[in-house]
Amino acid sequence: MEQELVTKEALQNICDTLPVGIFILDKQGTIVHINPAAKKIWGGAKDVGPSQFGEYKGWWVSSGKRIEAGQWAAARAIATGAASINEEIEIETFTGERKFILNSALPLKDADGNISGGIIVNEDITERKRSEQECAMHREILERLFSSVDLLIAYMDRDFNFLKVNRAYAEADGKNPDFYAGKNHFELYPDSENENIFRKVIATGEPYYAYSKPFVYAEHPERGVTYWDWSLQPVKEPSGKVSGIILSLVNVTGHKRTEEHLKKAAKDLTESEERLRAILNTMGNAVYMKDLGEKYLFANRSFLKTINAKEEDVIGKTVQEVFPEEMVSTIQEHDSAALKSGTTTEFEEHFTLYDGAHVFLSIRFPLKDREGNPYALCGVSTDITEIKRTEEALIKSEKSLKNAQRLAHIGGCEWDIVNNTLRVSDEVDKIVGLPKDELGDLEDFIGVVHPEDRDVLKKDIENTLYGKMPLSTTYRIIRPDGQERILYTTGEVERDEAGNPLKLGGTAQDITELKRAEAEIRKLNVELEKRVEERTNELRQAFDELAAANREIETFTYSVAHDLRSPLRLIDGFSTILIKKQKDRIDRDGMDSLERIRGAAKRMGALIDDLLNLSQVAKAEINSVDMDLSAVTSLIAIDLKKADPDRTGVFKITEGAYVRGDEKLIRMVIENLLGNAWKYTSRNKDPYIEFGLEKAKDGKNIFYVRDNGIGFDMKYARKIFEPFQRLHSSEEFPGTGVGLATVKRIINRHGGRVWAESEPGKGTTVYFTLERGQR
Amino acid sequence: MKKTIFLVEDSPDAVELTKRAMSCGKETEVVAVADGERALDYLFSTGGFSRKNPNERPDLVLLDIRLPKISGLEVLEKIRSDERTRLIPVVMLTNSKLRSDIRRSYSLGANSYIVKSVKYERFIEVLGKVCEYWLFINES
Repeated sequence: MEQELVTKEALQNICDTLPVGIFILDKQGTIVHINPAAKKIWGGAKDVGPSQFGEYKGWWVSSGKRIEAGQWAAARAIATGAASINEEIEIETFTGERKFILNSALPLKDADGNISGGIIVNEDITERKRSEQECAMHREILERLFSSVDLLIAYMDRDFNFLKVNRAYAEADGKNPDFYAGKNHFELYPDSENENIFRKVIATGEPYYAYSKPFVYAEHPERGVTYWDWSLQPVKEPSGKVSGIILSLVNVTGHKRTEEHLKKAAKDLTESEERLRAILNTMGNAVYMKDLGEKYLFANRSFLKTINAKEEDVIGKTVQEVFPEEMVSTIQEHDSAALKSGTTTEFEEHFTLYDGAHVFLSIRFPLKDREGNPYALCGVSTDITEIKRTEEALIKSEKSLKNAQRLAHIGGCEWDIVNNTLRVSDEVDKIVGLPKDELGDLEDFIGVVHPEDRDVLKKDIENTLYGKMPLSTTYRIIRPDGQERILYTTGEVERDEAGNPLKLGGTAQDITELKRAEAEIRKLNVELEKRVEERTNELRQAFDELAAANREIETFTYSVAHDLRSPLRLIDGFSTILIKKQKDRIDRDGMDSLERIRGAAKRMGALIDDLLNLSQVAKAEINSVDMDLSAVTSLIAIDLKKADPDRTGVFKITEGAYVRGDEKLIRMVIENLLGNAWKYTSRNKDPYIEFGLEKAKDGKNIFYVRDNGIGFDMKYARKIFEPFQRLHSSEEFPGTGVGLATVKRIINRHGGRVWAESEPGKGTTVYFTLERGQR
Repeated sequence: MKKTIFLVEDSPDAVELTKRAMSCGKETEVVAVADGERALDYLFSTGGFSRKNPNERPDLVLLDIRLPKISGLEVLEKIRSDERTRLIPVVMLTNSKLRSDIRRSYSLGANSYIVKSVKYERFIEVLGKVCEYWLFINES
């Protein structure tokens, strides 16, 4: 016996520890031993003979057929002694799992060569198979990739010799894939930059990517600049050493161009969008766009301005949110009408906005997509408020014009001289009383003119045509009903370049009424004048009568005063005689009585004189002359002194007082004032009387007569100028009380003022103003 | 020879006063009539004076204006229009200050116009002057 190198146990151990599944079969082929690995593979085990081998489910991988029991390699091995090695079989384990195994079976022979048993080896190649399949798939993918049209792939070794290129790569260069075998990349396409990149990839083992790298085909310059996306991948051995490089290129020229087109298109679009926006925002019309849900997608500046809203209040908001209730229904109505019609629709809209009532002409049109379905509504609104207003105004004004023509009875006419046709407005027909179009030429017109006026009219027209003056003529016409009307015609001639008359255009106005009115007015004027004359005469008469009456009164007054004188004279006369002649026969009482009588008579005389003066002053005419008041005053002063030589008294009279006034009357004033001063200083020891003048604030002269006499209480300052007002009795100082009234009247009649200032015991100053006179 | 003053004055009191006021006493004689008609009768020796010597003319006429029947101005007119009496000095002696009377008198030919003053003493004075002048100073 051979020395057993390996004991049975050892064999058993080896068998049980081997990673492959082992089945031991006996001579009959029944499985007598199954190692753990086999159990693991099969998910169990069955000790079965060859006839039950079918319990182990398996299929031929190549054909997919089920392996029958007897077809098992083990069965064959036992039966025939055939050895099968590594038959690929797909099994289903006892747990229902599917696996792939390599099934091998060997018969065991004894020394005689008889089959003593068998051994089955199962190798679980499921993983391997899967890997294989994956590999195959990868290969498939790879092949597919390789075959791609766009992706250019070149596989090179470390030194950039082509190992494999795909069709696309070759075709891009116009060559066959076989062409490249053995060739060097940089011999074919020298490029130092690229070479460096390639070398870097080899050196670093890092892939390289580039996008849109430009490339020019040296042999195909007509292709221009092409753009490629690069991918340089290092191919590594398991050790990590880079053994080769795969260059894959994607032609992005088209993309690049497209990209550039797109960029340009985008730029153009942006530009045109900007332009459009600018246009839309500059437009005076309101432009807007709404989606089907009534939300505003766009509203130009004009739109916002019109409704006085901000962009954020409109865009994205619905019609209801933007507009007040009253307007919403109208808008929605128009919107739906526009959408329904599917084409451009026009509406006239009346809205009251924040700044008043407006009228808009609104155009709406739906925006449709490619299928013709509307997706938005666009609108353009033009504010025609002004236009409407102008329209209305125009219509009104036309109406007014027509009316005015009608009311004024004025119509227009045009005579085409060359063709002798006459065109007249309706008003003219009305004036003339003929139906429309009856007046066709000049003769027709002349025909309605009064026979007596025809020649004149014709002459006037002629003069206008050949002269320079426009036509202006009045004539009568006879209406068909016989009524005469007076017409006034103006006209102007339109001439050609040579100066020949072409047209005579003008107006014809019915002035019959006017003329009538004129005649009426003239008549009324005559009447009026007559009446005025009558009235003037009446007034004159009345005036004369009044003047006469006045004179009568004056004469009467004068006579009365005058007649009163006579008895006075007698009283005075006879009482004087009595006193003189009968002095010794009359006792003191008698004399006293007589003296009183005389005194009374004298006073009455003075009173009558003063009254006469006063009344004369009122009626007398003022004959104004230049007077030297100073001279007059001096003379009167002298008279006073002469009349009473025994009296003392100093007069101070300012020289050069010139006034303008009535000589007699002014004299009276001075006589009175000086007389008063003389009178009321009669009791003074040193009487002082002054005549002078002062300048007033307004430049007028104020004259005054001042004395240092007895004076008076200022509370009587006004009273003393009233007639018959005396402040003293006749015993104290004689006087009628009329003097100052006379002075006042005279001064007033000369347009001046007179007033007095005084202090009892100190003196009096009487001021008066008069018009300045000349030397 | 005595001078004759012919006084035409309607108020007898006034006549009396005038006579008394006249200071040319002895040499003058005052004849007075109370109205214009009688004045003319006297001057022309008509009517009640038909027996008067027509050649006798007064040396001075003192004539008032306000006279009954015929006014003093009319008398004046008559005096001046008749040859016989035309040259006799006539002095208007009147109360009237009316400018119209004054003017009228002069234009009718009066030689002088005196307004009778109310004051008697003044009257005496004036009258004396008038008489003296017209009777003794003035050559008629």
